[in-house]
Amino acid sequence: MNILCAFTRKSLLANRTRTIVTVIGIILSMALVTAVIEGAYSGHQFLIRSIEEEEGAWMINETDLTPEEAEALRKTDGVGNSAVWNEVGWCMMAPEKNERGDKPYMLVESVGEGIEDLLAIRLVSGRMPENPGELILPTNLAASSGVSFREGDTLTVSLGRRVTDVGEAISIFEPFTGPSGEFEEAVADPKERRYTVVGLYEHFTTEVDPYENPGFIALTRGESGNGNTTVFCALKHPSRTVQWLDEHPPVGVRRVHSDLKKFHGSFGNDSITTALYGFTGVLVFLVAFGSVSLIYNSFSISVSERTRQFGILKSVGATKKQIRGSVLYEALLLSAVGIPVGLVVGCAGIGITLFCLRGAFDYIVQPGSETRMKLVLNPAALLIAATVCLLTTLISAAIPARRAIRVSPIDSIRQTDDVKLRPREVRTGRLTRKLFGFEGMMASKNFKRNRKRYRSTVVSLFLSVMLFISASSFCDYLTGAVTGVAGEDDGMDIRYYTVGDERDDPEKTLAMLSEAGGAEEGTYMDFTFMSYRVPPEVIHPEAKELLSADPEQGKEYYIWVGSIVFLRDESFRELCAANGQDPADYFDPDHPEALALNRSRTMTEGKNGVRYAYMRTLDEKKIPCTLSGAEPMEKEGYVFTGYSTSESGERMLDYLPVDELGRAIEGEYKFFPASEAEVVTDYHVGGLIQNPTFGAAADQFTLFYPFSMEKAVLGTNSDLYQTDFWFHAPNHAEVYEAMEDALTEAGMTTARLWDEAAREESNRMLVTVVNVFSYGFIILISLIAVANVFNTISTNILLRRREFAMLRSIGLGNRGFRRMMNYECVIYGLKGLMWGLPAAFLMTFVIWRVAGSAFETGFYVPWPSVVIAVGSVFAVVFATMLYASAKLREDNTVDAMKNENL
Amino acid sequence: MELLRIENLTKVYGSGENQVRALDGVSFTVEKGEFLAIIGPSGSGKSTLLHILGGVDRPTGGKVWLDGQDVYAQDEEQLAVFRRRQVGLIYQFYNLIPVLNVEENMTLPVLMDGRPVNEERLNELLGILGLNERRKHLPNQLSGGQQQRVSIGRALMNAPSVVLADEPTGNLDSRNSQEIVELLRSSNIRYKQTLIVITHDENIALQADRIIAIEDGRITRDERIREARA
Repeated sequence: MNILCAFTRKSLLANRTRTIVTVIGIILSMALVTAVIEGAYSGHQFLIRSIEEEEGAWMINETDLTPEEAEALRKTDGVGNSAVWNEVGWCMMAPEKNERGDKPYMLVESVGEGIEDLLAIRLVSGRMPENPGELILPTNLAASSGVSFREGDTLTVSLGRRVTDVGEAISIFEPFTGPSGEFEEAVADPKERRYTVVGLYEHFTTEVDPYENPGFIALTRGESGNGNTTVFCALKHPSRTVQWLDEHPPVGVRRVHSDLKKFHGSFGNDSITTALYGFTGVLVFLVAFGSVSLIYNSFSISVSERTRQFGILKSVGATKKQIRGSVLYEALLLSAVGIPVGLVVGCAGIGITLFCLRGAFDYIVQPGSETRMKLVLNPAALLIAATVCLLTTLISAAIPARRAIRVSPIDSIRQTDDVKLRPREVRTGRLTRKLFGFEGMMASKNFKRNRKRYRSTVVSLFLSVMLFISASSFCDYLTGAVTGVAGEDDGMDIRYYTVGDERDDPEKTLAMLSEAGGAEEGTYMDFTFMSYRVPPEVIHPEAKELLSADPEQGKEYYIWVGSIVFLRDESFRELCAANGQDPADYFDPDHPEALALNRSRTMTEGKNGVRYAYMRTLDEKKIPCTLSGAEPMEKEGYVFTGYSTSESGERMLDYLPVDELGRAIEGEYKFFPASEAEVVTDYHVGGLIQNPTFGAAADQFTLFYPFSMEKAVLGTNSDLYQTDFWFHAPNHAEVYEAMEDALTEAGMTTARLWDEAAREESNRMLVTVVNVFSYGFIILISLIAVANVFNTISTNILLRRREFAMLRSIGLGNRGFRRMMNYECVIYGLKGLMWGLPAAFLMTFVIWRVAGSAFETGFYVPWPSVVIAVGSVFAVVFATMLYASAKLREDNTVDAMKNENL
Repeated sequence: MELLRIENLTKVYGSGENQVRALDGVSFTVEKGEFLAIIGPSGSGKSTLLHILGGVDRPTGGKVWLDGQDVYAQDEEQLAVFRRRQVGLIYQFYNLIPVLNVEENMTLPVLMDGRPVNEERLNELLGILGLNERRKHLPNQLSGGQQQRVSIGRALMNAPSVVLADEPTGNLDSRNSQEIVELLRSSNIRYKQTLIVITHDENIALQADRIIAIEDGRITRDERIREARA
């Protein structure tokens, strides 16, 4: 076996170029597989880490446990890190101020050691409590109940147990029964406590703070509590959460951290992890497919080239096992070099890519998150990748080896493979000869003689073309979707809204936020959606056409959904100035008039893809005009839930009664005819906005009134409950932070402050990320294909040395030879494109269909990519031919004909 | 002593109207130490016969017995070992492995057997073949005559039962041809090596102990010129 190993090694060295190309192929495929697997794994870990940072690392929490039961749970098999909090007690929370009838309590819990490792307690201000005299309060307290405290405030409360009228304890999962409930609940054994507020924290998700909980959870530390204990624990094997839950039934009331469980791949009916790893599987398959093709081809060529030598070895006594061993040894040698290098290249590649894109990933997590995307290596995955690659290589080598063994020694020596041709297989038409001459005829015959060999080249070309163009389509459609949805840049970067009492002085709020943040522009507005009734004589033909498909439309009026905005007076004046309107016309409370933004953004199909157009609602020639709008009437004791149609076809409004706490009572619907339950208001449009100013931009038909005209327009029917503030700030991230600080200082919640510009950027970043990965992947796959094409074409040529020498010996000159090669190139290229382009268009169509299910878009083909693909195909083929031809020119004609020692 | 027996050997290529009967019921025996020359026109089947004797091509019908063993009753594995140890094949176009040097090419059958090389025998052969100074050279660094000598060396290395040479001088000039024939003859004399040579060259044929003429796959003449060196 040693001599055969020596023979193999020396053969590899003698054919350096092909050996290098094969090793590169192995490196590329290994690198790709590694990058894909490690990228997916890192992404998965990133998602897990971000969830853990945002919501905590706990997997199970169990409430209503005694301290002994809690201890037992913490010691259970499979439980990792754990912590507790102990219920200190309940108390009524400022009943005279509390706007939340259904959440009248404050519930104080005392956190135990290590709770911060498991539960994400996100401080908005201040610090964690350090002793039983300190308290932190949740942000939803001020936000929803109107009761707010600042750091440093002291509270004196009477904490006790929440019980029924017969003294039975009531769980946190039971909602407040209220004065007209089954029984009257009470706080038993109240004990007075004094607390100093030392901080505010972002309130918990409903998996920690149940939806039904009638109390705002305040946290202290160092108390043993009233005996009701909650345990938070992480599991040692999070991916086996479902099994653990089956094996350990709950003692108290148990909640599972569903997001975390999902990301750990413990499935119930999860989709994210399945999707992620499913997608990874598809990519790995594509890579494997491409690389098997390349590696198989390389070995096939290597074996073919050495057919004669294998024949000699067989004739001198080499067994099948020895021949097979030689080929497999070659596979192992090349893998020994290619796989480790590929592993390193793959890890480095994905590591660098993730590092460069880490800014983009920051946008995927919550603002202020400290979780960063980074490469996390999974040794098991690397081992799997290496094994897959090694198996691929060995199998790719084994198949041609079998071929080499099967042929008899003398047939191998004679290389009688080629002789097994039938005349009709290589017949070429007379037209070919007439049009392209002797060289064209030879090129055509050569192409037909060994279809299997040529097929693999054509397949490589076809795959590359298809993948390249499809990936371009995918990226284009995705970009189109995201930018389309994102819309115009209207400069509205940061948003804040006030509710309740805070709405009383919007100018003050505006001034405070503007000064604090240093935003360039700011305004505020009240707005609501409106279902307008547009008279037929006033509607624009464009809009009419769109609505004409619905037979209900146009009978008395056309219904067009838009919005109504009451814009800060000063901003409204600016709007008038920009649009040549006299403000005086719009500030008359007896005859309020609106400026209309006469456009709605709709999507149409253009030849280059999606086009977003603005459709006009009103006919400009009919201004001024009057529209009306209908709104459900407020009914005492009832809440409007929706529209329906009666049996007689009349439009009805549906209402449900509410209890004294304002909660709807299911089941007892009351229906009112529209004529009775709707308030119809007339809106007079005085002019159209041609030049929107800050705050007066929108994607849908909107009527703008001055802020001070709100009561005059809506009357007492106004149920607008929030005021929106908008700011323009190019340095939005800094401004956002400054505003956050200002709000906290003022004792106002920051939960209603949004960095809209960041969200837009995150969408764009996501597209960038997808583009980078898609194109990166495609380029690498294309490199594999190029290597494959190079290998096959160059070898096909070099295996025909004898023939070329013979042709030269009977008079084929260099020019004729070049022409023959060029014709072969053209045939390769055309065949590759003939399959590749239709396949690519088909894939593009499929992508369009898939994209179309998610958003509206027209069908289009990325023509620039098509041009690049076509050009590249011919470039690669011609370059390879040039290389092989150059080698052939070095041959000595006579030696080549004897085919000795080449 | 009988070494080789061929019984009713047939070889047919192709099928239907393209069928070619390269060998048509050939039978003869060869004594140990005999120098046999096989002559015949192109396409007569002599190369086919040699390849079958050498175990590199299977017959369609008939039997071949070497040293009392039915050659084609063996499986592929056994046949490979047979080719390694019992037979030495010399081709017209040398058929050396281009990436192995002279020494490696010559010792190929031994090395494939996994046995250590008999350095004495190797040196002796290199000396006889005049290749001492070229032992590390690759085939493309040798002349035609030198390459054929390497081929002979490879055939003789394992001291096989029979050496089969297919037009060994077909590719050489007259001086080299003569030298090659001398070498083959001397191995026949020195080692009592049974030798079967296919040739067009009458001079070579006349140096053999026996001549068999083949035409259209059949033996047309079988003439003994002198006694075999037993």
